[in-house]
Amino acid sequence: MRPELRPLAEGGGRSAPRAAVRHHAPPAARRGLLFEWIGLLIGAVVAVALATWTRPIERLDNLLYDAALRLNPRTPSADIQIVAIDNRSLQALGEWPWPRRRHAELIDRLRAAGARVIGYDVLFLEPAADPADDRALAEAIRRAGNVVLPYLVEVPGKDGRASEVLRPVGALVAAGPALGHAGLRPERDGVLRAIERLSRADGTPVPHFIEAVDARARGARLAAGPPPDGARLFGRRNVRIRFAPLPGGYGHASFVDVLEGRTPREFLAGRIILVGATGSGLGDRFATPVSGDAATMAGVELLANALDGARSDDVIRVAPLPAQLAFALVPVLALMAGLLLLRPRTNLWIGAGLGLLVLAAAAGLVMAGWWFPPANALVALALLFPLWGWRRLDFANRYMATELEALAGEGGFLRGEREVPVGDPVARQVALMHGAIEDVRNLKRFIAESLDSLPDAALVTDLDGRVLIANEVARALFAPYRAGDLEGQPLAAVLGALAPALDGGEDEVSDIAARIRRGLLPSPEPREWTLDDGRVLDVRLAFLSDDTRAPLGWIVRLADITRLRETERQREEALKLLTHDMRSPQASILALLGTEGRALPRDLADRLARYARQTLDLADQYVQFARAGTVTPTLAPMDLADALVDAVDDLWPQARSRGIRVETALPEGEALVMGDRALLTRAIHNLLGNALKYGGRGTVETGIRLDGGEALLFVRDHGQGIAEADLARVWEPFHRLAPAEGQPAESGAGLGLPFVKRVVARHGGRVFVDSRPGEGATFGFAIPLAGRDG
Amino acid sequence: MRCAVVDDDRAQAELVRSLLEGAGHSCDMMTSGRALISRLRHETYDLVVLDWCMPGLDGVEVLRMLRQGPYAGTPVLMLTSRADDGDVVTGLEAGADDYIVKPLVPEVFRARVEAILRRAAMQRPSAPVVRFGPYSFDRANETVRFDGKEVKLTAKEFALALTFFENLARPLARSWLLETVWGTAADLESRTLDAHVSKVRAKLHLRAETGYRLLPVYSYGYRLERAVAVEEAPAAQTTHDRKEAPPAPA
Repeated sequence: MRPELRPLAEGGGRSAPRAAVRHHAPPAARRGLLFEWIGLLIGAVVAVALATWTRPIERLDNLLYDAALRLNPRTPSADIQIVAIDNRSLQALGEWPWPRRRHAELIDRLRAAGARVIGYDVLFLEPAADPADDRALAEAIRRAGNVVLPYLVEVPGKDGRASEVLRPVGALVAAGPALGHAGLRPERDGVLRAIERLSRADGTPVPHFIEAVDARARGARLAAGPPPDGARLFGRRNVRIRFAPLPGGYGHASFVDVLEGRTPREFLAGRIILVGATGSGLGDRFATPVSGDAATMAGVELLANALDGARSDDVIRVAPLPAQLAFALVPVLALMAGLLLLRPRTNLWIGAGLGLLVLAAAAGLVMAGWWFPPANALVALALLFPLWGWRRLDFANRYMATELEALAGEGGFLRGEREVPVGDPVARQVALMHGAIEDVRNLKRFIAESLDSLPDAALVTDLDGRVLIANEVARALFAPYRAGDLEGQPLAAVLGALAPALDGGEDEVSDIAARIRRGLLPSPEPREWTLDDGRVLDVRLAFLSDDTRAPLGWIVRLADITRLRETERQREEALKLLTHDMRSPQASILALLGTEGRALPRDLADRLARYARQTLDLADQYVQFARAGTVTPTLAPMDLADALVDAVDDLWPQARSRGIRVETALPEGEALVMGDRALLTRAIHNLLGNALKYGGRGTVETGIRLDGGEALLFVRDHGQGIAEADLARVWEPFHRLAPAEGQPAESGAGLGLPFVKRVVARHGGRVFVDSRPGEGATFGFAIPLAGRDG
Repeated sequence: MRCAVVDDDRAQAELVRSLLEGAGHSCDMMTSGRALISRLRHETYDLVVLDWCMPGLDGVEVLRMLRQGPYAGTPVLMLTSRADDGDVVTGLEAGADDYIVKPLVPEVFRARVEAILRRAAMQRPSAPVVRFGPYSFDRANETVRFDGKEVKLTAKEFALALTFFENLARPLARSWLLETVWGTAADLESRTLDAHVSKVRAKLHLRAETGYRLLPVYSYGYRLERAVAVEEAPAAQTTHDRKEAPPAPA
């Protein structure tokens, strides 16, 4: 008999996917971590957006901007020439302010030298002490025709008005110069990076001094003049100046040199001349990105830079806010993706790389004339690492605490409810952890002892086939073949120790090793290893999985079935004796009776033949009965009607010689069942044979009905029937009914019906009998129909 | 016809010889496989009746040697005491033309011997219409008439039925049947053959009562044979008993 050993784990899937073998966090934990990540992502986006709007770290941006600007200076245009009211002029011409006649003279000089435009960055807001001076200047301005004068716009104005315009003296304005406001306001950090452009509430620009100069140089006239007093004005500083390096810059000529004709004519002819103060003590100086820590730049120099930029459109525009936001978000989102998907070390490199990239991009954009403040992105990148680390740690801590609480609350597989201290969370977690570790220790011990108490040798391995646990029987089994511990050794090496004592051992062992390596579930058929000392081992391999059915390892079980096999062999020999060695002489007796035996009296010969046949029948029946109990039937889809027809035809000679008609009622379609055709035919044969033997004369009806997923086969005779008391016992082996009074005893061992019962049971069916004395009997069985596609 | 009987059991050998000689064949008796092999060097037999279980070379070994030699075409009928289906298949696969499980039933034995000898002698008839008892097969139209009435068969059923009749009494392997009727390329489930056999059996009434039986050779295939009315000894006895038995009580 095959040992009825239950597999250690259901072999649902034949192949355990190797990819799934690596240990991941449980799905709940992964989801929780994902929520943390989404939270951080939203926080980061909101923070970056707010920072782009409010610019809390403007100073860092400014530092970076100034540095970038110094890397990208402009080459000053030779078109612009400064006439400087410098220290030397002050020394030569006396204290400031100078009489306006002197300015009139300078303008005349410049006109005579052929200056293209004269931007006169000196405020003439109050009437001169001597009105003749104003007249002289006005005359000079009118003669030149290309003078631009500055005025001031004060915000807020006096008496609570929104603004106040301070124009040059009326006489000068009447002379027809172009006008432009000349306000220069540094930013919050005191550095001037852009000329503030003013516009009125309706959007009309208020032209700046340099715009007026630029327009004159192009021969155009500005449409807009100074705004009326009290107009609401708005300033924007989003176009920044690209400065020429200091020192160097634009050409300077001293006021006094020009006035006294010492300046060569070619310095002035056809150029744009800006006249303004550079002398110390005149106060008109500003800090700029290029002026460094100590130096400052004169207002007129600054105007020259701005004018040059405006003329060549070589300026740096501050990017609009949405673009700035996008510029800051792209690296932040990239790093966030990295944090979710990549390993921490990789992310460190990615973070550093992103930072450098942001800096390089900002510098490059400055060169191209755009300013994207990079500081927000840089700070966000730097902050993401510790923030994410903190969130992850916090999450891990919470998760562990929850799991430990749940574990502690579950109560014992090997222990009762555990007490957990209330109060300090850390003490509580330590207690929980301690309890969990103790549980694991106990469980390990429990497993080891359970395995040791098994009757069979068992080896538990991890997924790579390394032995984790070997029980006592296993240690005893391998001891003669292999010295040393089994634990920690590769399974192939452990089993390989048996190979020399094993028939075909190398192949078997390497096959098992290969299956484990590939993660294949071994074939469900048990393997049998016969050792050279005669022992027989039943070897089975099963897969261990956790509660999500993910693979954990393997169990190899080697059961010693030597005695089982020995018993089986003996029984098989006994059956062989019956089938062959006992049949042969009986067949010989019958053969003799057919030849020389013909000399015997007919009656004697017939009786001898009958006994020989009975012996043969008995042997056949017994062997069939025994085999039906042990050999696994080979089930295949078959039509039960075929088996019935075979059996009816088999018994046709007997039926005919007894004068019995067998009526067969077959179903319309096929009676498809999973069956062993030979066994089922023999079973039906036995039922029909009984009906013919005990059924008296007349007819025997047989047939198949399909009913409720079953094929129901019946055989009905019209003989004496069976007494009710006997009905229950007809299926018992060796039970023979007493013949009805006056009837001859039929041959048979009383194994025909028990054989039917065994065969039907093996097909998952049931037998039935129904009889009334004197009215015949109905025997039959029902077995499940096969599925339509089976 | 010349027959050789190889059996170490004298009683069996005598019975076989008497049956063969009764049918008009001459018979040589040998008690071992080696004797047969050496006799075959200078003798030719039309049929060898071979016992499976003999000391020395057993029947299957003798059969394998026979099938490799120059006399490979000699028809062989195996006799065996082994009643197991598996043993029967082993014998057939070793190359036996047929097998009979002991004890011999004379009628069956004679029928099988005649079938083997007829097959060996037969030129495959190529006539357009072939008759087998009440059945006539029209190859051209692929129709069968049974007792003069036409029976509707599909092409495969016709081919299968004709194959069975042309190989009357011969055990036919499933694989051989599939190859012959469906062609080598056929990749069919095994139920296909069973279902067709079942159909042919039902349509042509190949039942014991009509004189032909189409029966399975378990784990091997099918065989179509003439139903023989066996006069069994127990049956005779029963008849005898019945005469003396009082009528069954009503």
